[in-house]
Amino acid sequence: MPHILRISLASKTSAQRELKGLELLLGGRALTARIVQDEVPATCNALGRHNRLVFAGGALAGTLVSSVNRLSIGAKSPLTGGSKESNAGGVVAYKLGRLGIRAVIFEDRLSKEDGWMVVRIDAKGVSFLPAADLAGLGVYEKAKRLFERHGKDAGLALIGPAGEQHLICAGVAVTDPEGAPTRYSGRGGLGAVMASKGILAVVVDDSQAPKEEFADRNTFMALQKQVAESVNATPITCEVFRKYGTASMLNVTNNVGALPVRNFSRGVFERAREIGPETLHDTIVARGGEGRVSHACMRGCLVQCSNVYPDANGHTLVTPLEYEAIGLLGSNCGIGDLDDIARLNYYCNDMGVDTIDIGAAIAVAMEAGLAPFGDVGFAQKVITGIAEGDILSRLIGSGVEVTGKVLGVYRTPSIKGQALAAYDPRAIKGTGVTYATSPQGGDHTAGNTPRLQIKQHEKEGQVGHSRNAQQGMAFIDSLGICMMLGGAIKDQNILLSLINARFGSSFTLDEAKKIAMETLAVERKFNAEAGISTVHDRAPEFFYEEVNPDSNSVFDFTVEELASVHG
Amino acid sequence: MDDKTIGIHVTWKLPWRAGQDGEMRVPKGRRVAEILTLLGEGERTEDILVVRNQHMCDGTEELLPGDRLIILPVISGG
Ligand code: SF4
Repeated sequence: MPHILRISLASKTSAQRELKGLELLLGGRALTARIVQDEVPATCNALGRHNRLVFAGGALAGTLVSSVNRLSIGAKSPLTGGSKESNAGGVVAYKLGRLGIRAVIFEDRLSKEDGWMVVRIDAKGVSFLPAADLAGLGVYEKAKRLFERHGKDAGLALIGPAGEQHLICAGVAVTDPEGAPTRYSGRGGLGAVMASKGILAVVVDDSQAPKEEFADRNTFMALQKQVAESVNATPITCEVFRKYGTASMLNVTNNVGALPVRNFSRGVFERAREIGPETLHDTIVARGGEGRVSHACMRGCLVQCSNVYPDANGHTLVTPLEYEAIGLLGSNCGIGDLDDIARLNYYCNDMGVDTIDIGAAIAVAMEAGLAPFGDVGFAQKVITGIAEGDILSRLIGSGVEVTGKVLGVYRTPSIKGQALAAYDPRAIKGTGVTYATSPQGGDHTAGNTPRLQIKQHEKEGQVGHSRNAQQGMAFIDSLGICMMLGGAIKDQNILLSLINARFGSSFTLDEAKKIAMETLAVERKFNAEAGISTVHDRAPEFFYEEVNPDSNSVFDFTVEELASVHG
Repeated sequence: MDDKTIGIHVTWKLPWRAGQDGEMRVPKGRRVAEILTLLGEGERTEDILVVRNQHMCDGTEELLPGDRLIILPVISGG
């Protein structure tokens, strides 16, 4: 049966606890949120020893069902000050699942004398390896050296120079099946939390994992096949994602005035075609070489929304190039060339920072007059300057809210300390309500609504749409599955049937949904204890006051309306 | 010019309708939701978004002459 692995960093010891009863259903965000609530003093410094860093997969992690191996990373966030979960694809959750590990809790921190360390987890247990020689290296070089030491089949979760400097927009990179360290738990500064514990990387080796005994293997395999058939039979999921990836969202946002352009001053970008999904697809195909229009970020994923974007010679420039990076590092900075955006994305990955918060912070710096919009050289300089500890780079690496305050910029797009993603809250109002009211801060993955067939720029019904989306995402995140799979799963009972066939349990969909609802409540409780209340459930003032000329709308929700989302 | 139809412009963003953009005439008095059936996508309406004159529709609006529709796939994330 799966267990929780607790690693006490101060004593360099570890212990396991087997999951029992309903706990077997807990995974991903449901688990990280509860562990943070139960074990972290809400008022502690997020970069101090009292915080916990939690890795958790879902109840299906370690199997080859499509898109079920997301890795949730949770902690008290140094960026939002509240409970945070940010999940990524890659191979680590799969490998932990194969080792029977549902979650890993890193508590306390390594001593100063220990210096930087790598934590290795394998079938024999946990080991702590000195890693001072890796400090200061970019994420790509760190990953390369770690693969040389641990073999190419290891799974890595690692941080870059931004994390090492405790920059509060630092993320945790997770390696994909080909070893690219580019699947990011990017949001909320969890890379800085990992660094504060003295950990540069977590290496997971499942090569000696015992063969899993399924309670009912035949049923499990039949259901797994059913999920695969369902993905392949859903044209939206299999044709659109495999051809255009998440960049296909740009056609939605740009056409309804919701694409962030030049620090959220417009919603339609005059160079949208140059950075849109069709150009992305055609460029990859034309350049060939290592380029791939579709790619699986984890073993078993049939949706394959990821891609490999090549340079003019067919060599990988970055993988993946996704909508959020295109929106924030691209149009929001006035940059309209995919090669430029891909390069900036690569540098963010190498420094180990969140592309969303960094893109938003660069645009705010441009609005402050530090450089004109569209200045790619400036953007590149501030991102890569993180490696040298350049002060402007450290400011930008501290995210949009800090950058806006230091530079005196009124139009700073952040909520609870975190940058808004690439959906203007005035034009896609349900997502705007989510940004304002989610315990996760300005985070589209907490409940995104552009997929709804509604009048997106009108207010009516949006509170309910956001509530449903937030509950729906809490469900998906608590099962550790990818949100892109959602459209292909017409009956969610199949997910519970898979879990029951794996463990011999009899969990119901209602129980799983209840856990998801409680997860939201647990996060809000932690936040309240940390001093984040409904008073903070607001959008920045300029979204209420400035009409987005392309959607002809403002964010117009009252305090009472926003309070009613979770009320 | 007949008085039973109106002219609209359709831009397709569905991969399987690539290259079919253009002006077309549709019966007068139809709602946006009905147009998908007329255009041959009636079975997949749940998976399709319609942007009409730069605003997302819920399907209830009546189509008017000169409307510009962009027909997009519903996608879950981003
Ligand atoms: S759909 Fe995309 S993000 Fe989700 S698991 Fe597959 S490749 Fe990764």
